[in-house]
Amino acid sequence: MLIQPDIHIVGSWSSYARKRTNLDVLIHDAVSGALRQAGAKLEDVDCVVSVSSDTVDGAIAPLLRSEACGARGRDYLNVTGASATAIGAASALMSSALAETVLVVGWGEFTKSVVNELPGLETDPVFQRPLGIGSLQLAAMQTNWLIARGHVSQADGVEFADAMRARGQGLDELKKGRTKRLAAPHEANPDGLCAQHMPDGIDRATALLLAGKPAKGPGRRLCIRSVATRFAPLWPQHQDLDPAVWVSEVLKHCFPKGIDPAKLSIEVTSANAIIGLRALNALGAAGDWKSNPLLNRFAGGVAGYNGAADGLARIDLLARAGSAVGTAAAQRDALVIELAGPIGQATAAIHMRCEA
Amino acid sequence: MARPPSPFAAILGIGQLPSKARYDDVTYPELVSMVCQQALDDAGLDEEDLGGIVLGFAPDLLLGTAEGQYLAAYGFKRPELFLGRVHTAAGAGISAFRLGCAYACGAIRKPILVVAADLGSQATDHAKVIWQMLDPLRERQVPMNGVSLFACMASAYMHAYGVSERQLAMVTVKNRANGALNPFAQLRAPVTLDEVLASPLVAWPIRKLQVGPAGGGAAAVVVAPAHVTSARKSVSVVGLGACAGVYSIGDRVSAADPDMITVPALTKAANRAYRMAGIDKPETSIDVAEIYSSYPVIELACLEALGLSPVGRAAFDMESGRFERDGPLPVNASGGATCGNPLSATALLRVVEVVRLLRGGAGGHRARPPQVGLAAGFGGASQLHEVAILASAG
Repeated sequence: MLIQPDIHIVGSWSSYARKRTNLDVLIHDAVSGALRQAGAKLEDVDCVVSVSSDTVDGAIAPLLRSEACGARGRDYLNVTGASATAIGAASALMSSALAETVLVVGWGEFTKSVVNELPGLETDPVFQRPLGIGSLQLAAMQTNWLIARGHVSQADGVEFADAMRARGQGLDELKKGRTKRLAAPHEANPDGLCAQHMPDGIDRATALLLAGKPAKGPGRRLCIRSVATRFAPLWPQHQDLDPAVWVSEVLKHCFPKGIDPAKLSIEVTSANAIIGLRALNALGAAGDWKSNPLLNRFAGGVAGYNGAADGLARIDLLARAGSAVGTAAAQRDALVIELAGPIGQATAAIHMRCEA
Repeated sequence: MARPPSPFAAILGIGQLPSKARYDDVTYPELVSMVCQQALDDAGLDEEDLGGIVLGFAPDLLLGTAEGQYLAAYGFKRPELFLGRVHTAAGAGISAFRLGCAYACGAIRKPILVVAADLGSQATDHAKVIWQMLDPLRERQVPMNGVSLFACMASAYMHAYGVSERQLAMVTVKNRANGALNPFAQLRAPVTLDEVLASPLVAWPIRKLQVGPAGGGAAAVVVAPAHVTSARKSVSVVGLGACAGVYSIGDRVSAADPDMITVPALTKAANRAYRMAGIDKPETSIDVAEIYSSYPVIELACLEALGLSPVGRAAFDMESGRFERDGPLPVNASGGATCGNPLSATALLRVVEVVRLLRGGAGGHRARPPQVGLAAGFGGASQLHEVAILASAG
């Protein structure tokens, strides 16, 4: 699926939880920050689209955060699962004239969730759970599949995860937040997935203000040019389990004439470092994270994973913090590769053009 | 904001499975698959013709799942077409419908399949799951759930407008009589006023027969850009509106914002839809309406918020027969959520029922076939309202 929205990010902000920070406050801060960045008021917003994972904040209805998002009195949609689907929804509303300005808000509060139970809920209650299969087990099976075919090794995954964590520790943004390791060692499959592959969950909210016209004033501005998505059920048929194949497919949609990763700032978000690493393999030689400092400059999802909203946070980092990485980098276009879902099967490429 | 074009979209096909207390013989993906196929058959299309699929599914924890789109996708022949799962509680069906229309008319410009399905009966404790929708810190600490909330609303409504328990019970009697004629309804036995009033008290003034049943069911709709023509096309989408209300129930009882009984967010949503459709007198322009009615007071308050009855007069209009199946403005001619309320699908079922009425396949004994219909969705405890205005294109 490909949509070409050509919509402008006129403001963005992420808010990180400190001790005792309430999730509503976190969301409110993110929304206020995005509006402040845009020089806009809530009255300027036609519609709020929210995205969050189910149950990560102790309740099963993200709708109950709608007021904190600023949606009261406004058109509102909650589109779960992935940042790309929320941006797609915003694009659909804008291109059909149902809205001119859309605030996209996402969050995850992992340190408060019953993380060890949540992954089990994502799998098929009839066919998979009776076998003891939760999403961690699915990820382990996928990891084994990739290792058995020589696509990655467990050592590669650990090295990548460690490097991304170290990179994250150097970022002020990620230092701020409460984090929690999302897998305990006893849940790991010793032949494949290990706890080190799993990301650190972070408590964060992100808001993007999207409009049909670019923002005025100085600073780095991004325009969302294309969003390509690819979706598969819990366990894809035909043993189609390679994230590199999925990412190649969405990149072909986004870049029909071919992609030049050297000209892009790229962030990959996934719930498993092995999957993230394999996604970078789809970029070929330019996907070598060791030699290309602008690949996962903000540590991808490994150092602070935010579930369905993680893609929004990557976009915010690329749009806002990206302006601080030097002139050449600040003028680059940006690409977020999102691998949401237990094994990354909600795959998306979000290509953004730099306008300033 | 400029007014969106109207007619906005075309409805090419509908699918509906009966609402049931239990679907013991099918899995959730099978339910999704069956209703999608019905809608595609009705539209004369197959999945190759589609530009995308939007799912309304909320709360999925009733099935014991989280991120239920990965499970639902087994029911799609082409899961790669999936565009997103909309989660706005019982409003999800029309929220998904609105998003599907937006994709069809904007970003994708091809037919979009909107599907909403629920197997709520699989929950071991339905009420306990629904309770998980409440804020864990501020509301789960008090004995608040759907019944107690709407009991508060009903008692406030009765006090404000001088409405009796008997008048409240008339809503149930009307809807159950309508449901008796609807093969898709879960409750198909009519009830009398005396039976309603003699049924056990759940939370005053709500009695057992006034509570919409938990259950499963499914609906699907194929929408397309307004210009798409089809031999089967008979209904256009001419107005869409949505509005989020106040979240916290405690914020609804102040004099400044008394939306415990007036539902101002629904009025805003309706006004947006009316404006888009060019309707300035809904009370005479709307021919049929399907609105949320899991408790009688919701139907009454919503009728007023939609401008289909003056404020404080809905119960009296109900008493006069205005909203009967053969009255001037049939409301919930299907029996509505009083007779079947699969949460994820209940709002999209309202759209399907209106389409059926506008096509002339149901709707009773009217001298003039209905031309304009309204479907409304009600998310959470009045936190989100959705309104769709549909018109006969024939």
